[in-house]
Amino acid sequence: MFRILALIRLLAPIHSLTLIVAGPIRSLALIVAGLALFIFPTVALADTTQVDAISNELMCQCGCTMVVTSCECSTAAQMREVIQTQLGEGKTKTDILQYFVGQYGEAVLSAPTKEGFNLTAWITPFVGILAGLGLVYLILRAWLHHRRQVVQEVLPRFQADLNVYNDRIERELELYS
Amino acid sequence: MNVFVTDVGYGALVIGLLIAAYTAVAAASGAMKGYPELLRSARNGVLVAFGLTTISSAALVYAFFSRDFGVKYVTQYSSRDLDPIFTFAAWWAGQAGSLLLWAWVLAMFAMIIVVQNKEQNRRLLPYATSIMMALLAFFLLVMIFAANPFERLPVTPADGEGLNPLLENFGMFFHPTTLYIGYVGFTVPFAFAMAALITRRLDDQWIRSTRRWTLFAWFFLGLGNLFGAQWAYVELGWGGYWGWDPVESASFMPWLTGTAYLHSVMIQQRRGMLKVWNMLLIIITFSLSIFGTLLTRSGILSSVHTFAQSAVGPMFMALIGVLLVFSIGLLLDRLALLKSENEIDSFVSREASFLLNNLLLVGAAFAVFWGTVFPLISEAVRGVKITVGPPFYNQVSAPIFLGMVILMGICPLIGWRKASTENLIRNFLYPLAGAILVAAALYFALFKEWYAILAFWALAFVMLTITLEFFRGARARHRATGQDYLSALGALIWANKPRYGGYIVHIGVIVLAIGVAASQFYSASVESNLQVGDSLSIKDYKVTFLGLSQYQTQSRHVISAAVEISQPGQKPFRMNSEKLFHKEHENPTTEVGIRTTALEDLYLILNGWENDGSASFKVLVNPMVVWIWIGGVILLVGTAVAFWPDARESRRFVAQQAVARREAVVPGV
Repeated sequence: MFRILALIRLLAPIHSLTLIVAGPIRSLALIVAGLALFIFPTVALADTTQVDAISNELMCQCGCTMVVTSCECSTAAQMREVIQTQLGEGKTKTDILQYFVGQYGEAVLSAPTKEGFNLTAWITPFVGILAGLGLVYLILRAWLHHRRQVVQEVLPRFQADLNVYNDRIERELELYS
Repeated sequence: MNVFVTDVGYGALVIGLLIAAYTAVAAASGAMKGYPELLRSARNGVLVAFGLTTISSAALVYAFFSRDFGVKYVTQYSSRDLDPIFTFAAWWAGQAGSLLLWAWVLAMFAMIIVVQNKEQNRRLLPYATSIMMALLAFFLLVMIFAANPFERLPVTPADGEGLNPLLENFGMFFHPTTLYIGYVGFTVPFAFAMAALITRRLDDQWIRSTRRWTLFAWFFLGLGNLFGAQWAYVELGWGGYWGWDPVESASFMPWLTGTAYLHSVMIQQRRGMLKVWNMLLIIITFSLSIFGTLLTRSGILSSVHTFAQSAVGPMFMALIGVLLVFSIGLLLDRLALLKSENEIDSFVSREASFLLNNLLLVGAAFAVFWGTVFPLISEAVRGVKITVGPPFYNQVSAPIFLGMVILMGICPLIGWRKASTENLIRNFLYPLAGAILVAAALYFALFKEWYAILAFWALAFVMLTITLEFFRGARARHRATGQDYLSALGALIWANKPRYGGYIVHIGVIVLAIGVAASQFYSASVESNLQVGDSLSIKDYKVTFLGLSQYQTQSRHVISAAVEISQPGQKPFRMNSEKLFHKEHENPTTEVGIRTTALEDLYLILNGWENDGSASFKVLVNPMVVWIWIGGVILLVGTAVAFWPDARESRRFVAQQAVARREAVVPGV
């Protein structure tokens, strides 16, 4: 029995199961639920997340500047219903998004498409950062290069000074020891 | 009486404008020509300007409390039955009042600066004052000519239109005010930076004098954003806390560049480098603060028409233009004086890592800015209106933020000048190994998505580096003094408050980021229509609909839905979610039910109901949201520690004073 339960737990997405009923009824419910899930892999929850996934890519048209998933106005509810219906008709995500673009224009999409001129929207921030990175690298390299030159110029003089001091230390050590 | 009060308020604005303009000129010319009388006069001018804006503000508040509906602004944002607390907050509910609040806070800061610097910064202060007063004059000008809060209606209505119900929340007190304090606060470092450029006193005096102001402004801006997020979460009822709304972005951008500035000034103080960059950063941050005010308060984004109808938008655009031309021009002119005192020694050094951190922070701000303006660009280039919404910002900013988090672990601990291999191993080997263990544990126990694993790996890495640093410091103290570890830790923090305060802030940010990452990656939602007695399941919660009820309060009609929540092995409990119908407003608002635990929030939204007594709900489980707010509290503690007077700092200040006195004795130095 335990093994069956464990199997069911493995088979069924835990979050979609009702695991609260006590005792033997609970086991029975689990088996039934598990079988149901096994036979009908798409339950209501899966639909909702799919609706969420699509409505996240659409802006609500009530003027709220929120995505359809988030807005709770009637416009958003209607749009979610349309998505639900079209999913039921077997349409794909692309079809449904295309349908809304046809209805409201490209502004209904919550992010620019990744094609054509819109690609600049996606790429520019990273181009900017990379350009900045390049600039920082060049500046640092120039600094480092300059520094090395200075060190090369100064080092012999520094070494000469150091020799003078070393000699003096030696002399004084001899003198006082 | 009422008319008299608002007339006094308006009069104070007009006289305030004259005084502010006079003070701006008097302070600058007094300093240029060396007239102490003019400088004294300017000093008094600042105090008077503060007094006058206070009178204006008091007059507006009085108009609200006396329900003086002859005033257009009062009519638009209040009604007779409005709660006294929100009657006060209605002050900043609209554009004109917000501008007045801005002006009042600005005048207050100018006054504090003048009083604070009575004995110091004698050369920088007049110019800084002048800049702040010029800005104050601008705000007063906008109010007088384009957005007068005291404008009277031809006919006095019997009652006002009431405050937008969404604003009747305590968030209304904390969110706008903290945000404005942050925006206005950046005026101070900006004004001192310009004063340093004008006077050619380009050592790090201006940075040191404004360290606390910068920290203060930065903190309030961050707090304002957090309060906004919290408000959205509990009041707007869509289950999230950050929607990448253009107005949110507007307050996030100066926070990002302000964070960059806060870090890069450390390099200037310590190594005398990045002087031009710091100037640029404060100019950008301040301009973005003004841009934020413009976006929030001009209506430029909600509708192009309101922007065109009011002169406020164009006036602000002009201000930003003038500010940029003036400050960049000045910077270019003084470029030769801003030569770096040192050069970088190695790519593997704290200086280099700070540069990288700056680049990412500014890059993130740029990405947000780019997203905000891209619709305009698209319309100009293609003639097609498009939207740049949350999916764009989430996708673009995620890798940038990830890089930032990793640098947060590296920057504070990598050696100055040139990090030795020993330094790298000592500071990063254990955290790196520990973080890999954490990531592995998460992978086997909780989730498999590579991006989530990567994010939590980075967060664990930073947390471990900071913990190790605290542990080592406390252990060294423990060994040296024999104190127990806890008091050693306390003493350690107290001995170097700016540094350890900074670390605590980092911990706060990490805790906050853990909350954000968990809730972004793993939130679940279910939408369902339920009959009484029906239930829905989400994660391991079972939500059973108990029924609807309704009741009436003074100003609203409430429909309330009760549900029972049960979880295996837990006692069931009840929750409510309500729809509130307000007298003056067409759209109802939602009161969500939230049940918070350390692991996750159960978030219940009543969407609607049918005549048969069934109701539709949206239920979300948002993991670890509470850690976002806890992170905010840690941030507050860390900032307070960094802000606290430091013994070393006060010794340095005494030394400075001595130098200043010597300078004063020897003329011409």
